[in-house]
Amino acid sequence: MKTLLKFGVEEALSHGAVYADMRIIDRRYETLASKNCDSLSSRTNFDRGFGIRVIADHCWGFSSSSKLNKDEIARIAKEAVDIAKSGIKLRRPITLADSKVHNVKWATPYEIDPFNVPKSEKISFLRELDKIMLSVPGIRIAKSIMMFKKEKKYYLSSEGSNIEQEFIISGGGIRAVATSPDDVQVRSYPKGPPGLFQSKGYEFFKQFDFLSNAKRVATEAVQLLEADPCPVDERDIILTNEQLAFQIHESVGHPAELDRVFGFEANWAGFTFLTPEKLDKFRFGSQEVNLVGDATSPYGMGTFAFDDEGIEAQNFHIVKDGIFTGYLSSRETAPMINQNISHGNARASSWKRIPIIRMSNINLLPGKWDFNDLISDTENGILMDTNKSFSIDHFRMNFQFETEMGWEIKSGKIVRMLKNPLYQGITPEFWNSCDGICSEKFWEIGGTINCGKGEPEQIIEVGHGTAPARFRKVKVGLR
Amino acid sequence: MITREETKAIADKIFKLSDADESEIIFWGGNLALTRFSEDRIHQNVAENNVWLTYRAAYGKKTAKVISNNFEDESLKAIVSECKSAAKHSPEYDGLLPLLSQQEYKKVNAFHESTAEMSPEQRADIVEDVMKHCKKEKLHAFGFFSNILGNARPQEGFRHFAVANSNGLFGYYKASSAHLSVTVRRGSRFGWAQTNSTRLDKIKPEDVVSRAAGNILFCKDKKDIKPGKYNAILSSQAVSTLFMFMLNTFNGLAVQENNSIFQGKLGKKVMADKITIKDDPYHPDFQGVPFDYEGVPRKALTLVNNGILENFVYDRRTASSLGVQPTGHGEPVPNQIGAFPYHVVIEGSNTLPDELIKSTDHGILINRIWYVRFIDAFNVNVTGLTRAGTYLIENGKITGTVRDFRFNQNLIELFKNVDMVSAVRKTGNFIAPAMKVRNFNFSSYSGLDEK
Repeated sequence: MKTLLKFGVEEALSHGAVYADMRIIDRRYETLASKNCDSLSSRTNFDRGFGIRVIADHCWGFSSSSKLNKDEIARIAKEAVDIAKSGIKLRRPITLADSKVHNVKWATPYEIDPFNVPKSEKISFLRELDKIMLSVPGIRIAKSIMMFKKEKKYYLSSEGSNIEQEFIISGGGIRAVATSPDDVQVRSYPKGPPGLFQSKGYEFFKQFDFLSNAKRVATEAVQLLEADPCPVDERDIILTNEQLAFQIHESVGHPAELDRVFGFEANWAGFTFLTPEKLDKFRFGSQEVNLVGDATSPYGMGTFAFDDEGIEAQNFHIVKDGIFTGYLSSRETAPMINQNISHGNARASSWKRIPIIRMSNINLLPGKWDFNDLISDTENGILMDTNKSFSIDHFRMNFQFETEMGWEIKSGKIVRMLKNPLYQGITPEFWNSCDGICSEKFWEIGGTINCGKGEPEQIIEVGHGTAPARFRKVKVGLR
Repeated sequence: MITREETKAIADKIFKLSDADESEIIFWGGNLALTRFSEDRIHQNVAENNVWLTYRAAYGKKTAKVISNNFEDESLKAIVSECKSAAKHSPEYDGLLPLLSQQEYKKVNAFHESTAEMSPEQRADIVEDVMKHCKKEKLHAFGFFSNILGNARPQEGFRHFAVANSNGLFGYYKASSAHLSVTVRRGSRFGWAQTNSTRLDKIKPEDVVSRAAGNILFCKDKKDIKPGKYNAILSSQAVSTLFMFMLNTFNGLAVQENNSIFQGKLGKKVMADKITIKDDPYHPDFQGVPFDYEGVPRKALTLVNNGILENFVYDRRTASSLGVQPTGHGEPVPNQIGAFPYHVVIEGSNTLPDELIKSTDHGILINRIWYVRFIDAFNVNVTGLTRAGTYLIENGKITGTVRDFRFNQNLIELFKNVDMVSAVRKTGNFIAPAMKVRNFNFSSYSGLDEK
C-alpha cells in the first residue's frame, strides 16, 4: 500500500500541489437483521477506495475513486489538483497548524474477531431474541440486529507521515413494537435503533444480558400502551446513559465544532452559539459539569490513534468545571482562532470524503452520586430512558428530546410508568441546571454510528461516555 | 458511472460464476463533484467516482446479499462465494418470490451531457456568479453547487440506476443532475433557497440568490410574537420537508402491520379538499428511474384525490400477501420496511405565493424548516424548527422578522387545515406548492437571544 500512497502523493506534487495526502481505506461490514423470526436480512459489504487531498494555488482540492490501480491514482491526483486550482478566484488563505511526522501502525484491541464467528450462531441468537419478544402477548413486531465493521486505513502525507490503523466496531440491539388501534409503543435494548456499538469484537454480545432484556422490553412496550402520558409541567429529570449521550451529542459535541464558527456548515448543519470570545470565559454548565473530547477512550467509537490529517489522538476539556474551554478543531481551523495546534478532530466518513471536523468521544466525566441515591434525593421528577426523538436548532440552543420510557418519581420513589416522555430546553440553561452526576461505577461508553454533517453528507461513528445525571426544573411534556 | 454495456457485462460475469437458483444484481452510485462556499469564498472542492453493486443469491428459500465496489474478476468471485456461504447459513424465508422476467420500461429523458460533464472551472464560475449577485445586494453567501452523473437525490446520496437478474430482466437508467443551494446573510438576518434539475441550463444563480434574499432586503423591523397557534404560510420547501414524514402512511406494509394511521381509510376523506397528491416518476421535473429495486415498472398513481385517500404503494411481497398488484415502489429484497413513494407531486393552483400573503390578516411566513423528527410516528406528530427567513404577516403584508421557533405539529391535522395552495415548485425532494394552513403550533422560541 505504501508504494501506491507514495505514488499518489508524488503525482499530486508533480502537478503543482504544495501539500498532498492520500488515504486508502479497505472496509468490510456485516449486517444481520431479523424481524418476527420470519425474515432475515443478511448483508456483507466490501468497500475499498482512495482519496487524495491537495493544496494548490492556496486552495483545497480533493478527488477519490474506488478503482485502486496506478492509472486511476494518477488520474485522480491530477483531478484533485485541477479542482484546487479552479478555486483561485474565490480562494481564502489557508494556514495549517503544526503537525509532527509519524510512522506508526495501530489497531483497535479486541478479543473475538466478529467475522470469524459463524453466521449460523449469530442468526440463531437473533431469532431467539425475536422469539422471546414475540412470546409476550401484544407484541406485533420484534426486531433484532447485529452489525460489524472492520476497517484498514492507510495514510501518507507529503510532510512525511505514514500511518496505518485498523478499526473494529461491533454492536446491535433489539426492539419490540406493541400496537393498539390508536397507538404504537416501542422499547429497545441496549439503545434505540439501530442499537449500541463499541470499538470491540464479538465479545460485545457477551457483556449484555440480551435474553432477559428481550422479555423486559417486550413487556414494557405492551405496558406503555396503557400508561399515562407525560404531564406538561416543569420537573426535575434524571437521564439514563443512553439519552444523556444524545444530549451531549447535540448540545455539546456539535456546538463545539470550530468549523461552525466560520460558517463552513452554515448552509446545512448550521452555526454555533459558542463563538470564540466565549472561550475560557463562558459558563456553559454548572460547576459539576466536566466534558472532554477524548479520542483515547477505551471502546469508544470515536477512538483512534491519529485523525485523518495525521494528528495524534488527544484528550482535552471542552468544558471544565462548567466553563467552556476548548473547541474540536483541525489543522486548518485551529490557526483561525490563533491556536497553532489542532485538537485532532479532522475525520472523513469514507475514502470518498474529505476530512472535516468530527467528534471523537465526547464524554461527560463521572460525578459522585450513587444512582439509587439520586432517585431517593428527587422529590418530584421523571426518570427518562432510551432516546426516541431528537431535534435542535441550527445554533444548537433550543432542543427537544423524547424517550421511549419514563418513570415518575415522587418523594424519592418511582411511582408510575409514563408514555411519550418529552423534555425541552435551552442548552446553557439546561447544563447549568445539572446538580448531580453518577459515579464511575455507572459510567459507560456508547454513542452513535450515524452522526451526519457536511455537504456532501458524511455519516460517521462518534462515541459518548456518560453516567446518569439529574437536571433541575426542566420543561416536560408536549406543548 | 458505468455504461449500459459495462453494467450488463459485469452482471453476466456474476451470473456465470453463480450456481444459485436465482440471482439478482442492483447497481447504484456514480460521479459527484461539489464546490462548497462560505463567507464568499470556496472552502471545500471535492469529487467522487464510485459505483456499487448489490448481489443477491437465492438457494431455494434461503437468500443473502453482498455489496461491493470492486469489480475486478477476483473480487467478483469473492462476492459470489461470500454470498453463497451467507445464503446457506440463512433461515428459509417464506416471503421470497420468484424473480421477475424482462419487463417493459417507459423511456425517460434524464441525462444531459453538459450537466454531467462539467469542469471544475465551470462549477467555480457558477459559484462566482452567486457571489456577484450577493455582492450587489450586500449579502454574504454560503452553500454549494454540485453536479452528478448517476441517480442521486439531494442529501440522500445515490440511488439505483440498474437492475439485472438471472431470469433475464435488465433495466438501465442514466441521469445527470445539478444542484445549487444558497444561504445568504445580511447582519443577523438569513435567507435560503435551492434549485436542482437534471439540466444545468435550468440552474439560474440570480434567481436562487433573489429567492434566498427574499424579504430580508426590505424587511428590517423585528416583531415579537408569543408561542401559540397561528395561521402559517409554509414555503414549497417546508411543505416538502414535512411531507417526507407522511410517506410511511402510504406504505402498504405499514398498513398491513397496523402501523399506518391510514389503515382502513381508503376511499375516505383524510385531507382538505384542496389536496391532491400523486406519485409520478415521469413528471418532467423528475424523470426518475422507471423501475423499482425489484425491477417492477414504476407506475404513476394518485395517492390522495381532493382529500380522499385513493391508493397505498406496495412492493411485490406485500402486494402478493394482500392480493393486490405491486405499484413499482419496492425496496431491495429482503427488507423490513416496505414501500415508499419517492416522486411526490402535491398539486397546486394558479395562485402566486404572494397571493397567500395578501389573503392573510395575521400569520407567520415560514421559508425553511430544519431538524424535523417524529414525536409520534404512528399519529404523525413531528417537531422541528424554522430557520433562514421567518416573518410576521399583518393585514396582507409582511411587517417584520420574528424569532425562529420550534413547532410541534400533527401532520394529519396540518393537511386537513389547508386553506390555500399556490403554484408548485420543484424542491429538494418533491414538487409542491406553498400552503396556507390554520393553527400551526409554535411551541417555543429557538435560535439565539433566548430570554
